[in-house]
Amino acid sequence: MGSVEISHISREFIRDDGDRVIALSDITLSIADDEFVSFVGPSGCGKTTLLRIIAGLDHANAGEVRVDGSLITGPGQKVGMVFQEYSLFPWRSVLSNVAFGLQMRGISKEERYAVARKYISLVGLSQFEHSYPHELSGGMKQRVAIARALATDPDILLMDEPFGALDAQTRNHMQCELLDIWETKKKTILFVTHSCDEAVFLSDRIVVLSPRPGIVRDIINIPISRPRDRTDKEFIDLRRHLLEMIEEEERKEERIKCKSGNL
Amino acid sequence: MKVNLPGSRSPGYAILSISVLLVLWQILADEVVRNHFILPSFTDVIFAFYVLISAGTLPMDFAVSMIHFFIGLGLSLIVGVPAGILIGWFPVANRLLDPIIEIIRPIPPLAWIPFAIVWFGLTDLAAGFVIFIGSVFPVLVNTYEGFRNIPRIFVEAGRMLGCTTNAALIRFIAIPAALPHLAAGFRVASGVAWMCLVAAEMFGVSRFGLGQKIWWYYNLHQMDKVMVYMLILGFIGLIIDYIFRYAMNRTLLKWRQGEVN
Ligand SMILES: Nc1ncnc2c1ncn2[C@@H]1O[C@H](COP(=O)(O)OP(=O)(O)O)[C@@H](O)[C@H]1O
Ligand SMILES: [Mg+2]
Repeated sequence: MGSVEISHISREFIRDDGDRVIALSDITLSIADDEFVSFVGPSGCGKTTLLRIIAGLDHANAGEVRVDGSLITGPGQKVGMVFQEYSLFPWRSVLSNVAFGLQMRGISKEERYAVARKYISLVGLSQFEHSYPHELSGGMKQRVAIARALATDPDILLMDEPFGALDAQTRNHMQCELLDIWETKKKTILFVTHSCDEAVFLSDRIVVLSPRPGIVRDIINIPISRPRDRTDKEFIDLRRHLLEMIEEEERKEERIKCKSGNL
Repeated sequence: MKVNLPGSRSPGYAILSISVLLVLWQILADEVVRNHFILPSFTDVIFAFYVLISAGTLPMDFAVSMIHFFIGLGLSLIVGVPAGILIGWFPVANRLLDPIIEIIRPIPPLAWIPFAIVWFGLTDLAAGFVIFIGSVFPVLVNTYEGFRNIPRIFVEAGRMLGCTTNAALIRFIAIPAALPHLAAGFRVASGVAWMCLVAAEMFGVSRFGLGQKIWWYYNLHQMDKVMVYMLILGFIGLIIDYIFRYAMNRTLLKWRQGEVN
């Protein structure tokens, strides 16, 4: 199980110079079990903030998040996260990074390493289980981070621009791997991305956010059956539609910045 | 024009510079100063070294100094690491303890000698205490700095994976992440501890000790032997630092190899 109910979430930050930034304003959203939902929008529209609130790492000023009906007050067992920046523990090997969550749950070394190995092979890194993070490429690090988040078998996986730093080819490959995992493991995935192509390729639904204050501007259903073909007409049309919407958001953002004299 | 110098690791330069120094020292002592009390020559020192080895107290001096050194450094770790963790992890502890630390820290370690004697008498523990005062602050401050500089992402990743209590976060995230800082602090501390040794053995806590013998032979006006003990202190300090660095890099800091520091 892994449904997420986001109701009337607002979050504002006080910046160092005393200005208030409304990162999220009255976000309400309902995500079903096993759904793949992407969040897109110009940077600064509150995507990371929203994910952190769902994760329990940050607290909203108003509103609440429920996972399978229970209120989120802090990080819990049901929710796993892959961060935007590299988050592997550099002092632990790949194997011990992936086994970390199970270690925290008090599972014996033998057992947790066996489970960790399974997930490491799932992301295709069995040869590197004894390597340290600094010995891996960016793409490999993110794959280990995904394996680490999966190893504790969370019902909900939050992913914050996990492939943002990867080259196009690795990225496409990782997207297919992620869909495989999603289909076999039956998880709810909340996925933040900058890329319209990625969002259309992966998601059941795409939530378009609009900045300052962060609100839900639109929700787009992607009815195309998987595996999806990027050259398919329906795919291209949806991608263009999404792109236009985001470009419009970005232009709006520019204008606001000009007016307020930031540029 | 670029001269083809041998690699910087080659011992050639070290041998050259030390040989030149020894020759200059010998000439200076024999031909210029001409007073073995003010400046014993290199050969005087070699001879004194030979005499001291035959006398056989060197191993005992070494052992006693090591005891003082390890009492002091051990106490520094036992006190400095937990205190550094406390103020580095809990902001309240920082606000409460920081003023106290800032008042005590500038007091020179040697100023504690009278109280060391009053509290512990003329014992090895008194010498250890002076060394402890000198070396505890580098341990404490570096532990604190290490804890302050832990990237937030590691703590959050840990929390998402079920590492949620303070004790678990400190043990599994903060200490390993801060280990390079801890190691740096420990290294500085061992240097300071070694420097405090001579003063700590000055006031007669023991009949042996590398520092104690410096004062002993000074009182006997045997400056060649004073020089022998000075050089031994220097060498052992160097070796301790080397062993320490080697051990840390090979074991606890293995994961940092190849990373740019
Ligand atoms: N800890 C913080 N302190 C102050 N402002 C913040 C903080 N975190 C985020 N913000 C602000 O909130 C807004 C949304 O940020 P974020 O959620 O990171 O956006 P995104 O991930 O969509 O790029 C931005 O304007 C950002 O400057
Ligand atoms: Mg972000």
